[in-house]
Amino acid sequence: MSPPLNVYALADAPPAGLLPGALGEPVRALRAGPFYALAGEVDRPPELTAESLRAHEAAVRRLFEACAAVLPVRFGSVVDQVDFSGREAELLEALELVRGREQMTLRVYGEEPPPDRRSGRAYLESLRSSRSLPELDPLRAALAPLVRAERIEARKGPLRASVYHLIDRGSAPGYLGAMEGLKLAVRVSPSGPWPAWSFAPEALR
Amino acid sequence: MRRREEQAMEILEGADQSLLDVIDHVLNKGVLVSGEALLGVAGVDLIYLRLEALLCAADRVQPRARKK
Repeated sequence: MSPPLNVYALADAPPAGLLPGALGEPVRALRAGPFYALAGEVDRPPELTAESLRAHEAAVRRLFEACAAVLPVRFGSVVDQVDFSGREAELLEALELVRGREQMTLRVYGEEPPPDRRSGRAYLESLRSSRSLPELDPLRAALAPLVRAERIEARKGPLRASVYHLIDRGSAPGYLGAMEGLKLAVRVSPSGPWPAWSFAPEALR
Repeated sequence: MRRREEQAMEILEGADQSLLDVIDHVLNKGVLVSGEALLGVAGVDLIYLRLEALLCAADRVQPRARKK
């Protein structure tokens, strides 16, 4: 029986050269239908420690830098075999979306405006408007030449939302520069560039 | 269970903003290879339960810090 596989990423072409995984093990490109699962052989699932989380992210980042298109796989995805059957169309579409691109993450802080409670319809519309973060429109206008896709994840509390932007690789300095000096009604904290973690399809079975 | 809680707390208590960003990405995002895979990792739920609060807290403590 084959050893378990710690899967780091999904790609449609193998990386050039042999790269180390989180434990220093060689990452192999295993054919699975039209995809390659980029995975290392391990004895067991990784321990959940700060070091192992950073090591996983670093392994994914190496693969991201070596491949034009990768979909990161969540930490702890240790399996006996890889099978993506039934999900090909969605995964291929996602690979095309992230090809040659990287992710910037924005944390948006501030209280959500109170919803309009005058009617059910007004309530839902105000909620929808608030969740789309219109306060970021000046930022969106400044970043429009760089941003290829946006995803918003609403949160609760002082961290109102996380916004994920997909940009062309290498344009992070321009992205951060375009944010300099912008006056916004909410506080925004950027990080990146990252592999396109938030543009990989979620909850796939 | 005690050991799982200790692991989670060790990570969260020593976390800086860049680690919180890493946690947010590597635990919450990315393709899920199979429904069972994450069950092998102790403490993931516990970590994620407190992550949002810590993302807030870390940013408030270091409001001018430029993240990775």
